Amino acid sequence: MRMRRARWLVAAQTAALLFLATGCGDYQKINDRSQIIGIGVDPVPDKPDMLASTLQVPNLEIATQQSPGLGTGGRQGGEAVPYKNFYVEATSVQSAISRAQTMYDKSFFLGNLETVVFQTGLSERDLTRVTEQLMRDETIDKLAYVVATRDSARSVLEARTNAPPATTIEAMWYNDMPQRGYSAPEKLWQFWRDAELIGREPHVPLVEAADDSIRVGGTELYFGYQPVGWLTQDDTVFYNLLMGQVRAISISIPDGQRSFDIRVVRSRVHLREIPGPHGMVLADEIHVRANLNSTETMAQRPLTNREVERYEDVVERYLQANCLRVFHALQSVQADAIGFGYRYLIRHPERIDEIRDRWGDEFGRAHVRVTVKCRISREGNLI
Amino acid sequence: MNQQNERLYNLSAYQAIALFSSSFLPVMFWIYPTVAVHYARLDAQWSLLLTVLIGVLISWVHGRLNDRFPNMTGPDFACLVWGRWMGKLLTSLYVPVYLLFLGVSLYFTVSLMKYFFPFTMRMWLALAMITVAWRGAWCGVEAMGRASAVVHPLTFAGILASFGAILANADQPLIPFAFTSVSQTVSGTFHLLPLYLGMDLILIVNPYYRHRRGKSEWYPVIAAAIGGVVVMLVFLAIVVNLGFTPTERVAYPVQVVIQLIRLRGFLVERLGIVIIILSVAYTTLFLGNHIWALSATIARIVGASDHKFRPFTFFVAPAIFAISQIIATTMQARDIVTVILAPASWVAVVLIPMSTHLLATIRGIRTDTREEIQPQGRQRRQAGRRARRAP
Repeated sequence: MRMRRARWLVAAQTAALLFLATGCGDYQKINDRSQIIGIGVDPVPDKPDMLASTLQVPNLEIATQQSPGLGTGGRQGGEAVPYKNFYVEATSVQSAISRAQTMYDKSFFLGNLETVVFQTGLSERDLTRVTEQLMRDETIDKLAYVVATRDSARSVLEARTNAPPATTIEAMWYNDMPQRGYSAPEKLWQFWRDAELIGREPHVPLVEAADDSIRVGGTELYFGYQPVGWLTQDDTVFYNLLMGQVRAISISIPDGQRSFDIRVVRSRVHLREIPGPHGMVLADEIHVRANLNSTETMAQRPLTNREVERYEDVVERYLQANCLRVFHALQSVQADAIGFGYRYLIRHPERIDEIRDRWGDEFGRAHVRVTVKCRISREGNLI
Repeated sequence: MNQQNERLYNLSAYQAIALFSSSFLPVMFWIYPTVAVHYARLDAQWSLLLTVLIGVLISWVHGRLNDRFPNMTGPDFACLVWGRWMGKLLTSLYVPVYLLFLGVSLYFTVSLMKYFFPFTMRMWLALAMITVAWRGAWCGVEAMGRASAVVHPLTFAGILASFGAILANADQPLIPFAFTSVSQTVSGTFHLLPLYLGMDLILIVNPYYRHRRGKSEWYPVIAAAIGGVVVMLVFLAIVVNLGFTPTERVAYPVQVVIQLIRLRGFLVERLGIVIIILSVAYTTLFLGNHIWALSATIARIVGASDHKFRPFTFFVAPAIFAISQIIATTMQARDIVTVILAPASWVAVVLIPMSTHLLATIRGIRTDTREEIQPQGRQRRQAGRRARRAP
């Protein structure tokens, strides 16, 4: 008898717990929500406190309006685009979102943010403010990619691409993309981390809207949150080599009057920083493993071992000269985008104040030693 | 005597270790990397290591104390060693410290849950947790031991797997080995000790697990070492990914870092929610353990049997809930931890048990005579062996 009563008591308690389960009281249909996938931020002339935000959401109705069977990606006559943009001037990104909500009948949601576009003309103060706002909000996906543009963030997010521009930009660097070399992407949290970190400066890819697509055109360099310079798209390859992050890209190597092509399979680096009597010596040892794409003999006769070695020498000399040039370019703007300062800090934590206050100068004046070791591991099918 | 024997063999070694190991960490778990980097700068990993070593050492002292007085709860042998009134006074010092400690732990966990339930009021989240914890405590320490044996290994495995993955994923795997300043390290350790606050639960559980010479004193040590592994792994995973200066800027570094990894094609795509589910289970278990422990302690202070702890849970559980509701901001909670709980934990976790042990040694007080400690265990083992040998 007692057992049965106890069992009823337990059952009643368990049932009472259900009252605490909030469940779907605030249920929202998926059709009533709209994900903000892109945020663009431009400065507003004459209004230093205001920011012009462009908020991008995918336009899901478009698929139902047009015949989905044609597979044209929802584009017809240049009228309908697969996204909607909202332009709002406000003091923060969050208040811009709140204002934009008055123009749309679906509730915004930031958990799937894909791309953040900054205009390069944003002041250091604005960029600090916006990054802080984006990092502070716990509902925003910190894995979104950050890009910069010289035109306007609005024009980038207005590009007439098949997929929404924010999605197109993210897709360039998504994990499935094997190639890495002509662009140096950073995610939102990495951008924030590098800007805050002592001895390492952030960089983001520069993009611009082309006719029917979005083009990556180099790398913007920052010192903290201050844009200080940029690298061209070709120089970005050498920057990536200095970082040891080149994967699966082909580059052409000039050799006197002629040239040949290699496919860099993978590169890695060994970084060292040695304090010397005349300032720091920064050493960057690059190891490249490559395949041969084309030779100077057009496969007329078999490649000899000696020829392969000569190719390796040429690659080493070419990459060394160009990596050194890009390194000097980084030094000229004192932007340590490779992270030597942080490495030095980790080894010499007692010098934290010095590194924090003077690493820019120190990096700019440092002696550089770049060495490249290349190994051509495959010559392909032809002789 | 009969009653004592009955309860002597309640928790297995495994359950005891799981119970001890799930009785500390939550108060600082979500914020300790920030605190460590704030006070110890680039010596944070050394001060953390020192904290873990102190935790392990202190847990060993706790184990020795328990083995010295195998059939008594903590308040009882405190009275035996310090004298009746001094013992009661010292034991009652634990009550406000632990109430505050549990309230702050509940506050932090609820703050974390707010990320995932932004529209649910804090009050309801806290109420749900404290109700479940109170229900567990009501069932007594044996039930909590069994629950710990399930929840703790799951949480441990979950944390090892996820933070191991985060650590392996880091794009700049730099861990500092240099040592800069003693004063910074000491300051860090001073403020990090609340990680091991909660360990005094071992003293009140004393009569509920089997004491074996040379074995049972290591149970708390194993529990503290498991905690140490978690603490070091999580810290390294965070600092290697975020770097030292940015870690100081985030309010909940653990929460931020688990958002940074997205395992595609994994059973659960957002790893964060798994960790949160596990940690909510863990914190509820932890609260339950301590509601029981604190109620039993109060029962002993007022002179009731520790089996009559149930009425006191009606004071302990609402008090914890109230404290968690009074705290307004994360900074306030952090200040409570660094300003009040840090010094309090040095007194409650280090000073009192150490001096109790010292005084007991000097005065030669012990109750672990040969008859009491384990005659039956050995007999039972031998009987088992004999039974196996006989075909």
